[in-house]
Amino acid sequence: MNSKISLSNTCRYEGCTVTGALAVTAFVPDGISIVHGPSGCTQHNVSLLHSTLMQHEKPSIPRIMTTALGEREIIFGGESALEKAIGIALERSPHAIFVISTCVAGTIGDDINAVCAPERDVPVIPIDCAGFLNGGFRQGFVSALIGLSTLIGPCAPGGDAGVNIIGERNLEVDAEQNFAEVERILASLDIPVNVRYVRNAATADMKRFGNAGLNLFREDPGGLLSRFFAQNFSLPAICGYPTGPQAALDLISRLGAIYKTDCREALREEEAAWEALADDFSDLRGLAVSLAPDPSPADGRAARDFTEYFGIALSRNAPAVPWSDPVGIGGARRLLRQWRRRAHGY
Amino acid sequence: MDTECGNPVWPCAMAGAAACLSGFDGLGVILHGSSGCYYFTRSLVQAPLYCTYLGGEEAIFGTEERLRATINALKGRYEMIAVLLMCVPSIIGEDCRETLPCSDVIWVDVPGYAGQLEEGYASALEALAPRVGEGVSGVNIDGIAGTDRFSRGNAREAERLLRKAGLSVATRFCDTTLHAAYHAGAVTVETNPDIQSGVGTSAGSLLGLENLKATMRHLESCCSTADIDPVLREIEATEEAVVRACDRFLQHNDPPATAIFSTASYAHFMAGLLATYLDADIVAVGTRNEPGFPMAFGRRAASLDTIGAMIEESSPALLIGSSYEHALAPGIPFVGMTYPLRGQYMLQHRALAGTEGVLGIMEAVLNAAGGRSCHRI
Repeated sequence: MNSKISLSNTCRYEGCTVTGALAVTAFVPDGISIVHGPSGCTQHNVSLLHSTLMQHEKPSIPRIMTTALGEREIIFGGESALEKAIGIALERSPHAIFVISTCVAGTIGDDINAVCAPERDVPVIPIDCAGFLNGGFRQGFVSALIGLSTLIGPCAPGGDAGVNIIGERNLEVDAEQNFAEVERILASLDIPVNVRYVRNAATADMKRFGNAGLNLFREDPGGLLSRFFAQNFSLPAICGYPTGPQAALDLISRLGAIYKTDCREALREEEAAWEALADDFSDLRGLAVSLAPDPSPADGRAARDFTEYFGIALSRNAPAVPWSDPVGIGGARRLLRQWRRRAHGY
Repeated sequence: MDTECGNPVWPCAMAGAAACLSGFDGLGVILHGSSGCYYFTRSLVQAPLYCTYLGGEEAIFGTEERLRATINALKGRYEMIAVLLMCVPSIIGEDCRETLPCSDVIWVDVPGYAGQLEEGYASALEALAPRVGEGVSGVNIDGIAGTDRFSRGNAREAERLLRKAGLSVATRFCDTTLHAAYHAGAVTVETNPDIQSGVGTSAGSLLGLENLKATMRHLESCCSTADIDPVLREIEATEEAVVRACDRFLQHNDPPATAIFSTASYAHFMAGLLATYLDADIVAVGTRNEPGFPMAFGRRAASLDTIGAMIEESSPALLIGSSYEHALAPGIPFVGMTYPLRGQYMLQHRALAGTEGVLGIMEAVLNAAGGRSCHRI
């Protein structure tokens, strides 16, 4: 229970670091993830991914192995179990192996970097998560995105092969719909997507990363990811998918400026599409709502702009409606449908 | 290292202990470990659970303070508290039992690396130590766990059959109050023999019609108020209905070559049912857990690698298992019987035990194998 919530340690209440890392590595279709810990740690993540992918109507299950640490390894160390698991993984001919440590491996002091270090036929990339010992879900997610950057090829200066999408929330139910919104906006300016880093991107795809003209981050609240990629890959960057009409128009304007392309027509089309959406939900004008969960300080402005645009008032005492930083017009439509159901008492 | 290392599919001991203890009203269950393990277990068990949310700091400097705070916050809200010691507290070897002596706290040592769901369930019951109450009448129902989508239906079916036989229900393990746990009946019927309470004398299993008959006869011999004739007549009528439906099916179809993946008791029950009434060729049986009884065929299969290989080798025409098996072979007619069952809604409390369990699962099998619905449970 949250008997001792400490704001300085909110990661305590997040999901597991291992889950965060797998939310990246499991989406490399020609890779194998090895979770270095008891089999239960892997089972619960396999179950979570299975459940999530079924919601995405993609019944395939990513290849995730466990080193299945038991009492013997807890006492004598688990490095040989990891060596053995890497050997088994190599027999399955992956193009990369990702080794994710757990809190059990961290507590017994296994050195996964040393086990992964020897040169093998394919890259064996350690992702030091150590389960809850090393932060929460977000930390694992960021560590994996940074760890996998060793698969990225050299940057081609002045590349214009499109936009890299970085750090999609692979476990969110509407990950594909959110991507489709961004892709639609890019298409309105004739800009293609280069690499989705990392969502169903094979290791060979990642080599094309450096051909892009821009990195677009799904989100980057602490700035950790954008700083890392700015330091290592000299590409301009935009942080955050657009929530609400103003953010969508801002994104189009920024893309126009970066790609030096005339974006006036795209802006007009986008504005018209948002106006059509507002007409579709005109029955919600005058509604008063409170948002649950409360938007983070960073999202607060977007939430206010969003409700204001649709003529909906924010009031602490009003009935609560869900808030989940809706992406683009599609996300807004899905959210407003939920609000309409609440307004009608469901 | 376990040889089954590719995509393990069966939960750990800690999850089994939580599934067991969360079934007792009046018992507050604290998972002494990290948030990641807690969230998964909470979603698996779907019952109130608490967590100490350990972080890296506690792994170094000790977990006692957080555990004390959590226990104190729950005191007064529960008659008793169960603390499940998860991986890291177990590894660092901190023994809070010494420093936090409380008479109304039970301690369950169930690090995830110490076994699987069934072992954790058993450890939890051992720590709780339920017992037969003096002069308590009625029959206990065993085998109920929050992780089993059929257990609520099983409990209802067991209760219905016992009432029909003129018997009352004493304690439902594990879906009961703490008081009832310590005042159980002297006789117990099993709805899932993989998870037995060990309380009272077992009268047998309610899985399958033959077992049901034998169990009823056993109950008649040890419960003076039992009148099992109405149940025996129902079993007979059930068997007739199943035989008639299977005859009709076999007029148009071959017996399905069937692969079954489930926990040992359910798999054994299903294999017997299909072989008896449908003359089915059971081409593969993979059990999630080690069977606690001799099985003529089948082997342990608790990872997707093993399960995938068994499906490929056996080429079944009908697949019985979980949504994992269905995902591995989406083209094979499928009946869901095993956790997890994702991608489909299941609102009704369906049973596997009793006559209704036999009718329900045979109906699903005939519809799936006859090509009428490959998704029906």
